[in-house]
Amino acid sequence: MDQILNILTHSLDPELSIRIRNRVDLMKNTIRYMQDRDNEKIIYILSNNWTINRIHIICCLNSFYQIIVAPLYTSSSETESGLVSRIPIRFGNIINFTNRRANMIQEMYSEFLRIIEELDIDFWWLHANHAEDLIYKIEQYLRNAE
Amino acid sequence: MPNRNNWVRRVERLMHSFANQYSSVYSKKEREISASFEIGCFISLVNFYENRRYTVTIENLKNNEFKYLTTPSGNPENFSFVKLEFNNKVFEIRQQIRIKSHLAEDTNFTPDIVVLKRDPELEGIYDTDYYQGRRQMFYVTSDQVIAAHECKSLPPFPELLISFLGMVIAGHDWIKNLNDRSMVTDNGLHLAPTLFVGGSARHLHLRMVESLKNTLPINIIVGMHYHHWDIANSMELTLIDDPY
Repeated sequence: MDQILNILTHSLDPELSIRIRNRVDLMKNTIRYMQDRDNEKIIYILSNNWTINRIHIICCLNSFYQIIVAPLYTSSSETESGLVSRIPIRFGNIINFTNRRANMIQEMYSEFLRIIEELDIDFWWLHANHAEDLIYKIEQYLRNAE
Repeated sequence: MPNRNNWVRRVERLMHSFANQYSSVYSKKEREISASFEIGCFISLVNFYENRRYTVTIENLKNNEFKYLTTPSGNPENFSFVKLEFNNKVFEIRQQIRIKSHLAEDTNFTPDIVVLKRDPELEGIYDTDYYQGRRQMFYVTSDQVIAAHECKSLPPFPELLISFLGMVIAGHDWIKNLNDRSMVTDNGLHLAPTLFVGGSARHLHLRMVESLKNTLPINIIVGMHYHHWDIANSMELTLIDDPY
């Protein structure tokens, strides 16, 4: 899991890297707490040939998606009146929301989701806000797949 | 079931490739990440009015760019805004405009986005407690506010939702009490004061969101990170008439 976290946070602004790592650590701690208390959902997940490391990896991807990918993607749309597509939005001195930026972000977003699907990761796992929500979603997914 | 170690190696390989190809796209400063969500909400709001057949024009461009006001310390006259026209009525969408509240003296705050009456009076005063009187403090009074909107790229926890209610009551002179839904109508001209939230909600919090929305003249839109920003068509919204 650490290797994946290192790959994704390697080039990030330190503040963002710390935010992602802190979020992953919080999720891991919650999962450890649940596991120590023999949480039924975790027991079920692990009985389906999952490992705790695999759950931790989902936490990494979830955190990266929530903190980096999704907020960027939300700014990649445009208006009929031409904002972004014809009229760039200049936010301060260094941030310019342009058509080119929007296209690159949309391509990045699509590729991230394609990889997620290739890895048999459900899209809604990326939207879990807490470890308990993520465990619930994984358990439900596995039960529905039976 | 795939071999466990193979799956982990696949993740590493794919993420390594993804990072090589796209790190230049997603490696932004924290300021740009938070700005991105606010811009997304702003675009979504403009789309809302476009979908409702308003004539939308982009005003006060600077070097053919929309100069987005990013802090209430800037003079709004020097920044771009969006003009909305419908049936001879005119409104403006602006950003980071300080609202002088009707609730009490010296009570000001700045929502992320605000919809204002036509030709709003954007006042500027000098105050010794503001930049030691060296800069003007710009504001608009709450009796010119149609709807103040706030954007939060966070999960919708209850305290976030409740704090938004303070903004609603302080920023809108036309809302005499929070239960006042007299301006709410199915064919309203405007999106009611709205809290845009990036994260998705647990079922318990969704019930709180629904209850607040049905009781008060507001919207709380959660899950903006995956709503494809089509707020005009994808869900039931609380709409209001022109209160002025």
